Amino acid sequence: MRSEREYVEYVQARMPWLRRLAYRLCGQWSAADDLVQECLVALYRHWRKASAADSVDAYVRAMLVHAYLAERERSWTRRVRPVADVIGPSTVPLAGAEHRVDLLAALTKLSPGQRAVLVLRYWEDLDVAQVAAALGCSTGTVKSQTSYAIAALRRLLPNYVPGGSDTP
Amino acid sequence: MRELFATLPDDPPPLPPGYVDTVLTRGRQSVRRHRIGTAAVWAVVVLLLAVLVVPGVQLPGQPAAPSTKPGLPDRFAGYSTLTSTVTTAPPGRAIALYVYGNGEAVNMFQPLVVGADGDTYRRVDAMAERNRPSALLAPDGTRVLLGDERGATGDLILVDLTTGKRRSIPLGDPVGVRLLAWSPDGRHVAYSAAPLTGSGEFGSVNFVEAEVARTGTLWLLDLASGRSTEVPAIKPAWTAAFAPDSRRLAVQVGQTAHLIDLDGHEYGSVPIPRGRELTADVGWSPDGRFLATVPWLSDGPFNGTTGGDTGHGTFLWKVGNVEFVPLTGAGTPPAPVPDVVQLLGWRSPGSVIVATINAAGHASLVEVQLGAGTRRTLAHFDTGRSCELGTQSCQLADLHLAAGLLPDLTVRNAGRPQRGPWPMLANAVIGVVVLGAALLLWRRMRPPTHPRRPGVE
Repeated sequence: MRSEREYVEYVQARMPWLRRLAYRLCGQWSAADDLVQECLVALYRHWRKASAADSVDAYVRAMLVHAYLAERERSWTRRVRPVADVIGPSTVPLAGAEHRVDLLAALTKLSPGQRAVLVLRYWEDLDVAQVAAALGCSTGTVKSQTSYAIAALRRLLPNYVPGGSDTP
Repeated sequence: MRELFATLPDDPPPLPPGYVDTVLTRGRQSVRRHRIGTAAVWAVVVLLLAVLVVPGVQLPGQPAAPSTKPGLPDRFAGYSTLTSTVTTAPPGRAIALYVYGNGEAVNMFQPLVVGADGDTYRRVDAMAERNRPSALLAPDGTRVLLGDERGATGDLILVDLTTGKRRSIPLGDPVGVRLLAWSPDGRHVAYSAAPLTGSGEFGSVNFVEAEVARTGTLWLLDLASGRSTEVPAIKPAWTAAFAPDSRRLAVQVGQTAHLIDLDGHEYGSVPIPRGRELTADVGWSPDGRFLATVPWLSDGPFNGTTGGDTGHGTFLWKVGNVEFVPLTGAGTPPAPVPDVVQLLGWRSPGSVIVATINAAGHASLVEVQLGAGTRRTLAHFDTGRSCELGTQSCQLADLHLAAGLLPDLTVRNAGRPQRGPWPMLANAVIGVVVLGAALLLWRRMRPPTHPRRPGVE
């Protein structure tokens, strides 16, 4: 089937990006792989529509973010709880390692919506309009949610002094 | 903030082996499930349309035009709360009128008519609204005439079964009414009427039938003009039956059947044996030679101290003989017909249709040849334990057949009951359930393609 071949080619080409985005949202690789799989199954079902979109990546990004938010809204009986990844001690000292650990911990304490906004804005480096498109909300909501998320992050990371602009 | 995020590592570990193949397999399964689910939803929708809409569609010939011979189903349909009303879906001419159901714990009585030209069942809503009063089915089965069991009434209601329309027949000052007999030509009705005192023996309790049976005067109603004529001498009228020529009638007062013409002039009388009464509505034989009598249900006509129980609204239960009283110079009457609960009409001068009840309490309609006494069961009623949510048997009361249709009557195999469109309440409940189920199904199956707004949790 021609459309299935196109789907497979797309998935193989964009798999690293998708996994990375899922990891940034979930914070765990095992959960990220589950999320990507769920998203790709839905993408298979709707590939014809997705492939006809202006940007397939934007379409798939929206699907993934939505799947992530929907997963958090499911009843506890249907929710998958991955066991935390075991991270071995780093053999090479990394610059800013203390911030890294604190930030990962702080992100887990934000609401899924706020986490998604921060990930899309500052890790995926999307502008406000692109984040709004991915989340299916207004740019105003993205700005306000970003502001709330940054304020929450500052409370969770009191020792962090930002070097750049944090304007939502 | 960007610098801070840039410090986070996100180099992906190797993919689990066969990850993409698993995705493809699950994707194909998901498509299959979706297709099956969609097909199932459509199947349910089509099924619901078939169940909800099709029975309500008036197919050509339904109600059937009375061009064929009237028929009686060999088995009357069981109880159903989903039977539509005469007003909503007129059934056409009816072969039977009866009250069906039970009221042991919950009042679930239904006044029903059964079509003469098909397996059509309808609730007579006007009768239910008047608290199931005394009623008569026209000899040709096209109309039902209603009194009012709620109390004194200023009118009778004539329900046209072919159109569902009601016609009010004014009576003047409100009175209590008992309907007695409908003439074979369909033009006249005999009824008994009396002002309701609401005092005395009955106190303020409303017993229309009992009070009118004790004090009611005979009235003759001309349905064409809507005018009623009082016959003051005939009081209290107990039962009545018109002669086959529709110009005369016999009215029982005490233990005498007074023979009068339509002007109210009495031209003769016939004694009725003690313990018996003139069969209501259909007591005059089609050859005009005899009056049929049945045993009192309890104590017969009111005699000043006892009696007066009309049997209105009483379940069919009492088994007795039908006996025949000759009119003056009429000759030897036929032999009595035993084991009868109610005489319902005449197929011919030598054949009657009666209701019977067996030892198990199941009611049937039976044709009996007078003289020979041979019997043929025409139809059975479902009196099983299907009423009041299966806790009670379904009982029959106030049973009437369209007497004028009986000579040409045929018996047909009972088909699927045509009960008309379901009541609005049932449709609303089913609609809500189906919509709820569809919503749940949709929520479960919809793809995650519509991102939601992020919210602060």
